[in-house]
Amino acid sequence: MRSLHPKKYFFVINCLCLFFILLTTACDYQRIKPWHRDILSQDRAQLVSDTLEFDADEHIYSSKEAPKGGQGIGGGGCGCN
Amino acid sequence: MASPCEVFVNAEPKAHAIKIIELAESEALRIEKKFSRYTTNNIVYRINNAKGKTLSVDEETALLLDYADQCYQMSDGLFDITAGVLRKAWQFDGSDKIPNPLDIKQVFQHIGWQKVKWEKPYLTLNPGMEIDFGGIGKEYAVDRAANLIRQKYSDFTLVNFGGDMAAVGTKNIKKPWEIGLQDPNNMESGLIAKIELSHGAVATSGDAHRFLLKNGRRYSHILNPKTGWPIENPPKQVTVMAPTCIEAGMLATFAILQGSEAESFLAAQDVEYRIIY
Amino acid sequence: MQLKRKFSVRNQLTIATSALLISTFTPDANAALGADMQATDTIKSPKNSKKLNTKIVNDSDSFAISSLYYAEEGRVKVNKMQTLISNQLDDNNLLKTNFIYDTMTGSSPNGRKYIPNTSGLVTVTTASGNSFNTEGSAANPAAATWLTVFADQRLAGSVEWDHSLTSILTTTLGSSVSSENDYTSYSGTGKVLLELNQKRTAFTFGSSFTQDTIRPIGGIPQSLGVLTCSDDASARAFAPAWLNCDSTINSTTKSREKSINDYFIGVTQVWNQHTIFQLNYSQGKENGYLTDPYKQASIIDKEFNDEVEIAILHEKRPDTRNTQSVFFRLVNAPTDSLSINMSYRYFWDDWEIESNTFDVRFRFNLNNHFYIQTHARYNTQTSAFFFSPYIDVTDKESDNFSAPKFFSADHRLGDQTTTTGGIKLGRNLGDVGKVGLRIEQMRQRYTNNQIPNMKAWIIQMLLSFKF
Repeated sequence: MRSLHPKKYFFVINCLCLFFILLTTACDYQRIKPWHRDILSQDRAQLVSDTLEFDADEHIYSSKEAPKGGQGIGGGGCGCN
Repeated sequence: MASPCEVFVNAEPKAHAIKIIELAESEALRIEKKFSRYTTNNIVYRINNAKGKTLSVDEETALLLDYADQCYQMSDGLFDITAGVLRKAWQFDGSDKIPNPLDIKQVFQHIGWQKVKWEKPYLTLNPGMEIDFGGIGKEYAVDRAANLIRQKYSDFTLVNFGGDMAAVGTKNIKKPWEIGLQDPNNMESGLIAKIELSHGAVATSGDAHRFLLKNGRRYSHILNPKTGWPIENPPKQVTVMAPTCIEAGMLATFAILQGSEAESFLAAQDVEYRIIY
Repeated sequence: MQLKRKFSVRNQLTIATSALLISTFTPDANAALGADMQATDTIKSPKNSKKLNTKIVNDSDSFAISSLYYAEEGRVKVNKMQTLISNQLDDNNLLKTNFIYDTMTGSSPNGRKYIPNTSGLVTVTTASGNSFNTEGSAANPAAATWLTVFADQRLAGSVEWDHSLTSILTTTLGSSVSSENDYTSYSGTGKVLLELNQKRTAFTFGSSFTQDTIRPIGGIPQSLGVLTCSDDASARAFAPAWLNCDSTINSTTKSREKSINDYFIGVTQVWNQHTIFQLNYSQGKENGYLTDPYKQASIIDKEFNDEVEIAILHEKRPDTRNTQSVFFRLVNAPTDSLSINMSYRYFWDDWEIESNTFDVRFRFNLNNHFYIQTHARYNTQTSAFFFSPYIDVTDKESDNFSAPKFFSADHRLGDQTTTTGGIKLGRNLGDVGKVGLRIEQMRQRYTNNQIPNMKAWIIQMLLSFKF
C-alpha cells in the first residue's frame, strides 16, 4: 500500500520546476499535457493578456524611443512626434 | 453506463453551474448512446452484427479502436476488447456455477484481438466475434466531459462517472475534492481511505461484487482472454491516480490482470495507487 | 505470471492516451464527431443534436474598445480611441478588425539647442512661412524655440485573418492603413504559426512590409540645408565655411517615401503547468527617407558672446537602417491569485543605437471579479552615431568644423532612459467580458541632452465584450 498525497505531489513538482528554471536546465515539461493547462489557458497567463493595452504601449514607446518591435510583427507606422 | 454519474461544480450562480453539468451530461449521453453494447442501431451494434462483413467506421470509433489495439499490445494480450464473448460462458452472480470447460473452449474461439482485421477505417470481425468498449468507455467519457468543461469554463469541477473521475478547473479551489474509498470486503464499514483530488483523475477497477465461489475457491470476474479462465489471485480493488481518467483506468485494469503481481506492476509505473486485496 | 514484462508501460500508455484525447479534442474534431454521429447513427434525436451543436459553437467573438489619454507635462497630448472586433467565422477562420482614431496636440522638442531663457533668440520661420515654428516670448514661455507646436489626427485601420490549415498549422494574413495629414502608411503582414509537441511548443515565422509616405507641410526640406541664420552679422562671421547663409533653398519635393521590411522568428514553450516562455528574434530593414522633416539642428559657437546660435539646419539621417532585436518573455502563474508577465528586449541597429528594455507586470486577483495589476518598465538606450544635441563649431579645428554627413538632434535618437510605473484595476465580467482602468506615469531622462526631462501620464480605459 502506498498513500496518496496529491497536494504534496504537485507541490514538489512545482518546486522542482522552479528550481530548474533558475538553473535554466531541462524540466520535465514533457509531462505537461494540454489537459493540464487550466491555468495557462486563463486570460491572466496569456503572453499578451490584453491586446489593446499592448497596442497602446507599443504605440507610445515606439514613438518616444529609438527601438521598436521585438514582440511580434505587424501594425502600421506613424509619423509620430 | 449502468452506474451513477455525478458532476460537482463549485460555481455561482446556480444557472452557471447547471450549464457545466449539462455539458458533462450531454457528452456522457452521447458517448453512451454511441458506444454502449446494450443498444441497437449504434456503431458497436453494427460492428457486432456485421457477420464477417467489413465495415468502415467513423473517426472517433477508429481512434478508440487504435487505442484498444495499443492497449492490447501493451498488456501482451491481457486487455482485449473482444473478450466480452466469454460472458456467454461465465455468469458472475456470486453463485457456484463454474462453466463446463468445453463451453469455455467453445466461446474461446470467438475471442482474440489478433484475429480482428483492423486497417483504419476498415474493421472486419470473424462471425461470432464481438467488441465491447466497456473497459474504456466510461473513463473516456469522463475525460471527454472534463476536457469540454475545461475548454469553456475555469470553475472547479469534479466529473464522476461511476467511480471514475477527473477534476478540472482552477477557480475558487479552497480545498481539493475528497474522494472516499470503501473497503470492498465490507461495504458497511464506511471509508477506509480518503483521496484528495485537485486536478488529474482517479479510476478504480475491481471485482468486489462479481465473482463465483466454489469449494472455497474464488473465481474472479477478471477473465484472462488468453486462457478463457479467471485471473488468479487478483486484488479486489485497484485505484490509480493519473493525469487522465483513461490512463488511470487502463493502469488499474492492467494491474488487476497481473493477478498477484499487481503491486509490483504498479510500482513500476510512476503513479499514485492503492491496492486492496 | 501472465505478463512477464514488469517494466513501465506508462510512457506508451501516455502517448496512446494523448493521441486518443487530442485527436478527439480539436475544434475540428468536435465538429467532426457531431457529423459522424449523425452520419453513422440512424436514430437521431433532434434534442441531442442541438445540445451537441451548442458545444461546438466557439464563443471567441468579441468586441473591445479602448480609450487612451496620454499627456506629457507641457508637451504632447494624445487621445487615442481603438476598437478591435474579433469574429470567429468558423472553426478554422478568425477575422480581427481594428480601428484607431488619434488626435494629437501640443509641442515636442524639435532638436534645436535648449536655451531656458527665451529672450534674445533668433526668430525662426520655415521656408514656406507656415506656423509650425513659434517664437519664444515672455508671454508664452511654453512655446520655447526648442519646441514645435503641432496638431494632427490619425485614422488607422487593420484587418487580420487567421486561418487554421491543419490542427498544427495556422497562417495569418494582415494589412493595415494609417493616415495623418502629412503621413500615410500601408503595410502587409504574413505569419505562420506551427504548433508542435502537443501544442506545448509553437514556432512563429513572420514577415511584414510597410510603405510610408511623408508629406510635410511646406514640402520636404533640404537635408542639412539652412533653415535660418542669425541676423547678427558678427555672429555669422563665426560660421563655418561650409555653411552658406545666403542660399535660400526652396523645397521642390512635396513628399518622400520609406519602406520597412521586418522579419520575425519566435518560439513559445509551455514549460510546466504554470509557466510559458517566449523567445523572439526580429530583424528590420528600413530604406528611403528616414529623416524627420520637422527636426532641426542648431549650430553653436560657445565662445562668441558666451554662446551663440549661428544657424539652424534641417537634420539628415542615413537612408538605410538595419535593426535587430532579441526578445524574451516569461509568463508564470504560480498561484490562483498571482500571475507574472515579464519581458526583456535587447535591441541594436547599424546607427549604433543599443537598448535594453525590461517590463514586468504583476497581477493579483483580489477575488473572482476584481484584480489589480502593477506595471513597471525600464528602457535605456545609447545614441545614434550621428546624434548630438547641437553642432558645435567652437573649435574650428575639430571634426565638427567640416560639414557633417549626417546629423540629428532628435532626443529620441540620443541617450535616454524611460521609466514607467503604473497600476491597473480590472474587473472580470465572466461570460460578458472584462473592463479595466490603468493609470501610469512615464518619465524620460536625457543624459547627453540639455532639454528638460519629461513626465507623462497614461490613462487607459479598456472594455471588452463577448458576443
